[in-house]
Amino acid sequence: MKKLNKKKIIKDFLFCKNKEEKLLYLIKIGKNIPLKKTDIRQKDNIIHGCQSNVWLKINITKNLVNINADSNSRIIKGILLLIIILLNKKNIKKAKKTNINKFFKKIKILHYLSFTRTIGIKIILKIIKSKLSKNI
Amino acid sequence: MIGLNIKKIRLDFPILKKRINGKRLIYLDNAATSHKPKCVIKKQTYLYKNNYASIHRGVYTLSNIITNKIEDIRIEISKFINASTPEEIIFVRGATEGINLIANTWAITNLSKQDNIIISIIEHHANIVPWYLISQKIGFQIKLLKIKKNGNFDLKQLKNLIDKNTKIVSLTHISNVLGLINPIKKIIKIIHRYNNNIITVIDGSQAIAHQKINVKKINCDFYVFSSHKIYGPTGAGIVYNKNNILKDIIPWQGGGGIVANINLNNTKKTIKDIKFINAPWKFETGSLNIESIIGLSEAIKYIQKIGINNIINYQKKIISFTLNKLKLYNNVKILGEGKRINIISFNINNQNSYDIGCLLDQHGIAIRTGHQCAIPLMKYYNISGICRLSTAIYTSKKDINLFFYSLKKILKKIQI
Repeated sequence: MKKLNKKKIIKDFLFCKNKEEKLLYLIKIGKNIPLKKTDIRQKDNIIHGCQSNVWLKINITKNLVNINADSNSRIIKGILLLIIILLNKKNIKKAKKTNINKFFKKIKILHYLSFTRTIGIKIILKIIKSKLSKNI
Repeated sequence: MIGLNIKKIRLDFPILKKRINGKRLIYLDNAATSHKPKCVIKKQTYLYKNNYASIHRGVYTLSNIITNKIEDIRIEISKFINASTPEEIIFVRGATEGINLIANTWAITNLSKQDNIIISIIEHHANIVPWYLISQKIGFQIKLLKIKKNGNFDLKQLKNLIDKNTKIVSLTHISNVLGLINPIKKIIKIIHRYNNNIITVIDGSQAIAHQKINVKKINCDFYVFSSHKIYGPTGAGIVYNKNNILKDIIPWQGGGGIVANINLNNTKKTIKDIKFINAPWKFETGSLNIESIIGLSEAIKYIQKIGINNIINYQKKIISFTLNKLKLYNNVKILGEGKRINIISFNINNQNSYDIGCLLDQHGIAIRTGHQCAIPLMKYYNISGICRLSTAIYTSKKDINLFFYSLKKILKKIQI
């Protein structure tokens, strides 16, 4: 798989013929999350309120955002990768300004997920936003 | 395949004609809620067009017609589950409200700090949370009945759990996850052998559409179920209370339609200032969901017409057909072993249940995924969620074959 960035993801999503292809694409890109399971899958990193298990760790080093995340759902893992691509290595100010929901709307993915999952994603985004605000 | 004319039955359920994502709808989430036959839909429309009015209050003809109808349904339901009298039947919004009613009436009146109740780890949250909420107020202990690895209750442990302070045992007839039919008659015998005064509450949500319920034979004190799981509308449910044991207990919800007299003139205001009407009506405050009760009555007539024994036989066969096919898969983990009627929960190839459910949906297939409102049971099996397939009288062999066809395709596609 070519290096993923925002532009390529939008292009790839536009190529998906139907919902199933979009979900399979998320499963496929989810494998690109750079992580060691033992590092992230810890009690402190669990996000409560998500129906699938989601682990999230946000580090701010030298004003730059570094998010590490994982899920036992491969579809959700794909969504987490999208968030990582959009925010990682950005400075806090820029990351805060990034409109993730707008991006999700553009690739039309959230309405393919169930109600409980979209609530879970909203919780994740809220946690990220709050962490970024605290560090600004 | 099997006794019933499924093709004909399917024609009774208009929603089954619907295409989902361009595919035939294969609805396998009947343990969550079941679809409605034409007769139920028609009856509700008829009510709104012809007989709709306020019940139990009006003196006018329309009100009398619908009041009599609802009271006739109380009789029908008491006969359907073989209760002794119609007064043993209380209309509620659903099984969840039913258990909350029992907890907030009988339990709150009769339990104190030193008492304990027994529930099991396989219960739906609806048979856990209400007890926790009132235990918080009263302080009684909640004991947990465990299961054996095969998903059946550990009856030896049950005997050890019961002591002189045990007041209530509240268990499910059929688990919404395991789908195993629990031997509740036998369990209640064991409980009564120890202490005949222990109150037994049975959550019949999953059993009501797939078992012949005879509350006298079961010998439970309470039996609760929801209309929407037995092909009836949402918003109606039943609490059976043996010998009207709630008759001397004050209602848990206050409002109109349940007050015989009220005196506001006493300096010290107490509940004694209010004289309530008799049970079961005093537990039915506000405006009852009459359209759902009417629909429930029609749903019961519908399954009685097909014959509950025919339904049981068919369901047994279709579920065993499904189970045998599922067992052919490598790396499939099926929860529970024993007598089941319409539910199978499984995980496959270590795939997340949510992912499987989402992808099956693209094939028009509806299954339930996740913790199934039974987190303690998920923890027992050390899983975060599971795929649940649950059938109904309209589930055909073709549905099951298409389910496996799609499952196979999906599993192949996600081996990326």
